[in-house]
Amino acid sequence: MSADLSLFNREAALLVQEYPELEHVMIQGEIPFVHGQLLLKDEEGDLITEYSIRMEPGPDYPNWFPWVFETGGRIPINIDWHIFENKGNCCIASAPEEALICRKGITLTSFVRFQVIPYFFNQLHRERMGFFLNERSHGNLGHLEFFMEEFETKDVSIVIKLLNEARSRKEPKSNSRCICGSKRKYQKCHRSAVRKIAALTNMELDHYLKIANDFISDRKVPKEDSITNF
Amino acid sequence: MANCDHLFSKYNDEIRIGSKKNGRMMDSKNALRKRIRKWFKDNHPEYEPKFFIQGSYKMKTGIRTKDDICDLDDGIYFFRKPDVTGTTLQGWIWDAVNGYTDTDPEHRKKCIRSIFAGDYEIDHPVYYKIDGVPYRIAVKDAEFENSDPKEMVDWFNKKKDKEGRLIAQVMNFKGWCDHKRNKMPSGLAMTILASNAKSKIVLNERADITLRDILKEIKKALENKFECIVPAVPGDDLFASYDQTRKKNFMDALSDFILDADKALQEDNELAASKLWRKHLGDRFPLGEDKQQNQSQSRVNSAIITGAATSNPWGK
Repeated sequence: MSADLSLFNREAALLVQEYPELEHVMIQGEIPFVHGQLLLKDEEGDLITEYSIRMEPGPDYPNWFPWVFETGGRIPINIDWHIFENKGNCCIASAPEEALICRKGITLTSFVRFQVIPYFFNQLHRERMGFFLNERSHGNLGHLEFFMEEFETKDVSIVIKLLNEARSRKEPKSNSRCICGSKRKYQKCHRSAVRKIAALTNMELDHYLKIANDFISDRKVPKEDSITNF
Repeated sequence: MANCDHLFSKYNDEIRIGSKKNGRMMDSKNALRKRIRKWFKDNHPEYEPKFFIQGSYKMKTGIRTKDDICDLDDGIYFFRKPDVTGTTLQGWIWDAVNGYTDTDPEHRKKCIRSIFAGDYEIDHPVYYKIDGVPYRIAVKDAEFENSDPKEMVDWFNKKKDKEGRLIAQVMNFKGWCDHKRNKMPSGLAMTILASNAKSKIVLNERADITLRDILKEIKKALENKFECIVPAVPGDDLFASYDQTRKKNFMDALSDFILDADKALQEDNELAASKLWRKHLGDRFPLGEDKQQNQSQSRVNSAIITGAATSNPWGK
């Protein structure tokens, strides 16, 4: 897989219309990018702060997020600040979350609005208050946290049941009891969450099932993650 | 989310060497220099001492301990090859300064210490320097060793920021170790650890946040490799002699401090937050007001919280 550069360029042209502090740069023979100031404003449109950023298509846009870099030296290249230390790009979301968002379809504009701006607001929260408002754990535990949040449970065994349900590709009848054990009807309980997660491929679901099963069996989360492309 | 930055400023003022004490210490340093110069002129005129203030005083990271003691390292340099042992050379310094203070000077491994009881101590490490050879320090009952204290000061000067945040943090760490005692690392070790950690983070305007960030980076570095290499000749590992008990003691102290620092940053009540800092920095850390600092009440912070609400950053 490789990034769709022509799509990136088309979308970048639209992005800079909406965000005029960003500039779209295309140089013959080089990877295009967008750079400039990302303005964070309050609800009344007053500027709170701005970050210098650079956005590149990454290796597989739009199947995965573009790469975003903070270029003003305001955020350290440190995994505890959710910056990948090998390339210096921002870790915006856990891998399954990112996969699902991309599978649903993103544009650069929607990516900036719904992912990048909230991420930098969270960085600002960390800068001003000393901690992120919300964050995922590092590694595969962060993936599990995503599924636990999606399925609204802290019980990994329920995550496993629901991931298996998504993996089966067969939906129970709407009036059936939910497999989570809540005694509620499936359609009122986990149907929409399972449908959402079912957008993951079998390979991905198998991978996350393994992480969840390993967590249950020995409370250990594998360090290596073979699915993400980071 | 109590912002205790102003309490850290007060704490730094509290542990800083005050102007009166500093004045007395400078007078003593000058008097001892005069005495040493005269002693060599009278007894060994072929040795002409030169002086260079070094260590924490030079780096401006010196503190008053909780016993109200501070120190000054005043290096003595001879630009010739000595024809006596390092111990003899140190002994000459001991003879020169003896009698100036009420208590006898101490002949320590790498310096002669003049003790101004209950007030301060002045250390005189002794070096020689000749062309083509690194600075060499006199060591009691041993050979001279390579040692360049200026290199350490230069290293720190390159690391420090113009706002003085790193200096303030080194003082905080020294205050912490002084409060804990119990074989916590030396001031030099904490200076090196904090400076190394600084290169992994961005110093925050708030001292409480920066302190917690540096603590975490120190812990990460030491969990990776428990060492503290002096960034100057001879490149000693200051933790080489630590046994398991001492290592565990420091690592546990670090973990405890991080735990409470995280709690303090999330604490709304300033008094409660200050008590958490006090657990580690001692009573010289000021108590905050018994008031809530609910950050979400400000319009800007409310906007930040709203803006960040859907973000869940991750990391491998």
